[in-house]
Amino acid sequence: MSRMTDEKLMRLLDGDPKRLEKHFEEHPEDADRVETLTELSSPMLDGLRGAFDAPDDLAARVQARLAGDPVGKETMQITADLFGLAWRTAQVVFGKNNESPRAGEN
Amino acid sequence: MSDRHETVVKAPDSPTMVSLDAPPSGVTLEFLVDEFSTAIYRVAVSIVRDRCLAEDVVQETLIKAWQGLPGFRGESPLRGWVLRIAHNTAISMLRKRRDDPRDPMMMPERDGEISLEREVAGKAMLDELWVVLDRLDETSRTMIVLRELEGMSYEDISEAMRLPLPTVKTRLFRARKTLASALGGWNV
Repeated sequence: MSRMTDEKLMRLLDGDPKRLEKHFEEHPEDADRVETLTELSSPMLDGLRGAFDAPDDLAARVQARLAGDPVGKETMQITADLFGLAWRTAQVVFGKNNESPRAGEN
Repeated sequence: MSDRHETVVKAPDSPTMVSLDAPPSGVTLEFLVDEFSTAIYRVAVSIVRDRCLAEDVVQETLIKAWQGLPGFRGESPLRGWVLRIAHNTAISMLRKRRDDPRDPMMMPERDGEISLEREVAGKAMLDELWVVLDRLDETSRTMIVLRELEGMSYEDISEAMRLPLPTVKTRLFRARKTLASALGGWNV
């Protein structure tokens, strides 16, 4: 069987998905070619990063939200009991905002 | 394309490296928050399209993941397992919102988040991108996030989304083609 042209392969993408899946199963090399042909450009990837950008302080906000959530608070307390909680987390959970990292160690 | 997913990371307070392909005996909730919040958030945004709700999804997912951790057998990577919980949680929260008379798509964006981000990255371009992303179904958007932003392998995406591998590849290629066709001017 002759090698399918790039154009024909790309047109196949618009067709019946089941047929396409079957084709890729029978011709995995074509799946590799389509992967290359459909690779997103750097500007598009940058755009996607911007579109799905998470807030810089997301982890801290999540920690704070978990501390405010009854289930999350309990969960974090268990975490603290079992493994020892980092100072930053302890700060959020127990509200020791004015103490130094070393304060809780004594 | 190679598998860009980092499978081994150092868990906090753990003297040794923890393989995410094995049961994570030393994983703390703080580790889950630090390691997965951003990925969960991105998956959530791809489904719920609302940044406030996405943060709710992150919170809920982390609690579920932490509570379910003892049952995690390590048969799949921890990352995929957590993101599957995120996917399911986001779908569930979106359904709840859709049942709510206040349509989430009609709700205003939270002040100072999307608007600021769009100012920085170029409002017109992001708007254009979201118009195209909206043409994709939620599953395809999530796949784009997992593959293009989180660098997951097709196999891991297949596992995380409980979809056959050929289906993952086909849908991703079609989604990428849709993006590339609609945003052809971005290639220069």
